Amino acid sequence: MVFGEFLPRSVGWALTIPLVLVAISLAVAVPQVAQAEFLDPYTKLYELYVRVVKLASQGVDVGEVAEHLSRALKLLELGQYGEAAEEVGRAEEVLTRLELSANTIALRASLAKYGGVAALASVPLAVYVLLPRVYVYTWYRARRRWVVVRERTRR
Amino acid sequence: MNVLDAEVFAVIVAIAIVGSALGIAQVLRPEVVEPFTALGLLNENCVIGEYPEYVFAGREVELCVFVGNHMGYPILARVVYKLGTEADLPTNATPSSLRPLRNFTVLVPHGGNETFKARLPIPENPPEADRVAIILELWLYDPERGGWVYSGRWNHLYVRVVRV
Repeated sequence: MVFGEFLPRSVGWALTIPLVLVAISLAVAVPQVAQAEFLDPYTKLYELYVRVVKLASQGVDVGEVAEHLSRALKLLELGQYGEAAEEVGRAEEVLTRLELSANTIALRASLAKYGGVAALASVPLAVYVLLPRVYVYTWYRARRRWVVVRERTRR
Repeated sequence: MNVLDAEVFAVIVAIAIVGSALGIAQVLRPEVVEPFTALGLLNENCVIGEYPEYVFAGREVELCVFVGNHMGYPILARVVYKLGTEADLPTNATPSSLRPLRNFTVLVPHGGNETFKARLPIPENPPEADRVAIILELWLYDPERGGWVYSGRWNHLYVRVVRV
């Protein structure tokens, strides 16, 4: 034994016991941490909910994620933790996908909104400029077969 | 020759301006002007009225709870059930100081509502009073603070407890 060659037996034991204790405490602690995460599925749900609200404030439609989370909550209330965890996983997938395209969606929504405003704002101008021209064009077109007769000829 | 009368043209342009202004206001107005949540207590058939008058100590009473959301974003809502007397009722600013007996957590999308059946336990030793109040409070998860906040919405139903 290594200890036996260089150190007295008592010192070897004195070093071995704390090492064994540390190993045991690590072995016990690691599953406890994993279990703690598993036992509190609400923590993950809260985290996802915060991300959902952030996305919704950017104008992104979060209906699909909300549906998954709602289903997960119902399953949690029923104590079906496995199925709830699956729903939470699905919600996170959709959420991640939406987050990646959030900027594009927000930009598209802004363009549609302000494009609409610009179009509406240009309506009075278009009426002012185009209406007389269109009206005159239509007026003349409706009377294009009319024949101009001199008053003298008619007599 | 004046084909289009100037006055008629002015009226048409004025109508176009007013219409355009109204349209722009509709597009730019915020989606939710006055955000609010709603909490409703319904009977066991999930309709208003015919609420139970008597409940039994040590048993459960079934009622329906309605949670509505018009906040502009999905809400994570928790309905907290407490049992007390008239003196224990919450206010619009402060929740009841009683210990919650059961919680129900739901996620309600914007513009939607959630109605669910709630089995409310009546303790073996309910408060000593002629009539007790089934109290439901609505708490919302605050994404900024990361915790539950009392919304100020609450409902109550007075019942008489039958001790078996």
